[in-house]
Amino acid sequence: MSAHSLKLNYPSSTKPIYMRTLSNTPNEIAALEQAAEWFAILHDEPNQESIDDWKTWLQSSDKNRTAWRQIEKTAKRFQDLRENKAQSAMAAGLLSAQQNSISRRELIIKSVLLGLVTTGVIGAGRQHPELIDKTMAFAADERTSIGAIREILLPDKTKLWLNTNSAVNIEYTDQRRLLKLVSGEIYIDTAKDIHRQFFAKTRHGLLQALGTEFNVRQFSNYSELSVFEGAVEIQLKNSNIKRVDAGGSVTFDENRFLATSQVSSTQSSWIQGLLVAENMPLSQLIEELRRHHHEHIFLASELENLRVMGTYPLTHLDKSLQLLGNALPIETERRFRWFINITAK
Amino acid sequence: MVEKIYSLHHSWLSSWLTQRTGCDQLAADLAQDTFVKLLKKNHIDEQHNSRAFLKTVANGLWIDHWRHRKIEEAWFERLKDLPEPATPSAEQSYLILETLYQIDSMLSKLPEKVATAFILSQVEGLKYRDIAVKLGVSERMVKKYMAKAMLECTLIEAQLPVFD
Repeated sequence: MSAHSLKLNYPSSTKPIYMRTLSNTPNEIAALEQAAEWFAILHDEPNQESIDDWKTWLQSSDKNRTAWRQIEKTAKRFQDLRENKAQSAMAAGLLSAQQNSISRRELIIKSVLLGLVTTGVIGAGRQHPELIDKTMAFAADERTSIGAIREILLPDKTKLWLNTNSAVNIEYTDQRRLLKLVSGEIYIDTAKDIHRQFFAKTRHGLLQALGTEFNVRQFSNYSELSVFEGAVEIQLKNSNIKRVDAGGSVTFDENRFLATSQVSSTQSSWIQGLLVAENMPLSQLIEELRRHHHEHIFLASELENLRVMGTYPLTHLDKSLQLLGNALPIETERRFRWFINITAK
Repeated sequence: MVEKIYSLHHSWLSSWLTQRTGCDQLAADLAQDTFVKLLKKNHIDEQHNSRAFLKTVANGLWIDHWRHRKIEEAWFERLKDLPEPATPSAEQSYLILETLYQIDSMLSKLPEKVATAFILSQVEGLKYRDIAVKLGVSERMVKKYMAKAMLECTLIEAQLPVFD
């Protein structure tokens, strides 16, 4: 196989801009073209014949060797990038900037599929539910982006709140009312409807509302239900049922109920855009803030267990950080636009 | 000379950018950046004192800004899925983003499929046969894309003179 079999034909209008301006080193450019073609051949399982042909090409002139060195230098740049563990995050970034003409749904599905292939998940037969959620989230009926909190009035007068980065599908029929939580967290205040029962569904189970206000959040491996008024009945795939009354909170996965606890009314304060901390570890509070903001927030590990009291505005990061700085022995630094570093004072 | 151009053009450029981008703050930043770019030029003359020219520069900066935002958003989104020990530090993230901006600027001149194939191979580490399936083209075509992209990147790396 020779480099000529891959002949790159450039009609003059599509020649790279550099080629159009350089009329004095056509030989150098030609050698680079060939070197690039050889690179493409050698990069992915070349056979012995190709390798031998390449060596012949390389040895045949200084020009070729110089060109090859330049190609190698560029290739090294990318090789260095690949050594980093965050390859698929980098690829996602680069691909995202490329694809501005594809519809959003396609783009997300593409990048999710890429993610699944690179991490070898499909082959290993494991599920990576969060990535699948993100795909579905963009196709969902109602969604929020990072940092947004929305209140929606449904046709039957049920009130629905979506927390940051969440998505629901609304499936109301004549027979029943159903909300599918595709990703994230919702708060529901059901309206009375004597003809239709109200259900909410997560990946892990089906919830039936019995005249109620409740909060449900879907994590990748489990869901969490908190009931504030009335009662909710959870039904799992294997027909295990559990009733949760106001003041109670339960986590569950597809197969079993995991933990129960008490819930205080302040845990629903996100619907007013507030986070009420009652002896909350700082790591948990910061994690909540992260959900609502794009910024990358680093918290020094020795600060993780500091206890926090008070009310914090979820949607105003600077204000929250200022309040934290007043209350705790911490130092907040925002050196770059997207980075916040929290360290001990 | 730049002062003259600034006083003549700064205000309509800001308004034009506000309309284009839909954001006051961004428009103000881009307008500033446009004149900063002008200042950096080796020599400035009457040809630069034109709406068309300034619009082109400003538009280019806006596209760069948009591309950088896309890269950042996707980067931060994906970082969340990384296991704790693999998460880069603030400085590392910043350096990686800078590198991604440079690579993106090289790739932005290529047709979308060519750039996509190149990213999948060189950054994500996929084999040509998998890339061929994803893009709906032949493996042979993927090799052509690779060669084309590699040539483009190398020409830029070698810093050969370019039409500005």
